[in-house]
Amino acid sequence: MWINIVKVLFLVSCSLLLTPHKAYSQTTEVGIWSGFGTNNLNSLRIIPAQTLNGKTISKLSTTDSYPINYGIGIELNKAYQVYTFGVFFRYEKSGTQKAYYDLTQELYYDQEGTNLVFGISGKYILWKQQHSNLKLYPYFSFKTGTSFSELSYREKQENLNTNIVDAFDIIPKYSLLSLVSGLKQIKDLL
Amino acid sequence: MIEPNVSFFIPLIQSDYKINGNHKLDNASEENNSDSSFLGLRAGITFGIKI
Repeated sequence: MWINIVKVLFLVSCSLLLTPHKAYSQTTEVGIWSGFGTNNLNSLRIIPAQTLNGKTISKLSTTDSYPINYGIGIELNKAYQVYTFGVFFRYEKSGTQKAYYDLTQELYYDQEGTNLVFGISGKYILWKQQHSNLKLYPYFSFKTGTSFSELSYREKQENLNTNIVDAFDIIPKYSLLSLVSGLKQIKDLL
Repeated sequence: MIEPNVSFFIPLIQSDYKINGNHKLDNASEENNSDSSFLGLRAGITFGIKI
């Protein structure tokens, strides 16, 4: 069901991007985004898995790492004064590469993750409600999309990169919903 | 165009995990359910131009 909703929202967004809108002045915006955030790759570490040798990877601690990643992305929006509609793409990389030690297996694990996120967004800018000469105006945005993730594990006998005994990837996929608030320069739309 | 922004996000649907090679997951469906409650936070800034 959600896949269909995403498809419909995507088609609506594309039609708004491609259709001239004569009621308002309009422009197309291209932006580069960069930021930091939490990621749900952290929770994936509790997945029990078995290695080639039949060893079960125990539930690794979720407290000994920082669930922070950084990301870069691009955005393409069609702007109609107080509304914008567009598409976005992000690449996120986990900044939490770290070794974990399983006492019962006498093995270390390195993990690192990446996300590729595609989606669409709509934005409403609180412009007409403002009466002062602000340079930045608040806005609220709704985003939805799909994230393709990859979580890589390296299994090592010692905490050295040269002693890797096995490696594997866990590949989840999820659809996401995002509510955004922020500040936007409005002078380009005037 | 300068846009500082803060976002909250949740995964709506999470597919079954795939694992490469000959590895396999135990109780994958059970773990998937617990992961779907994740709530994320992200802060960033966008620099852009109009074209």
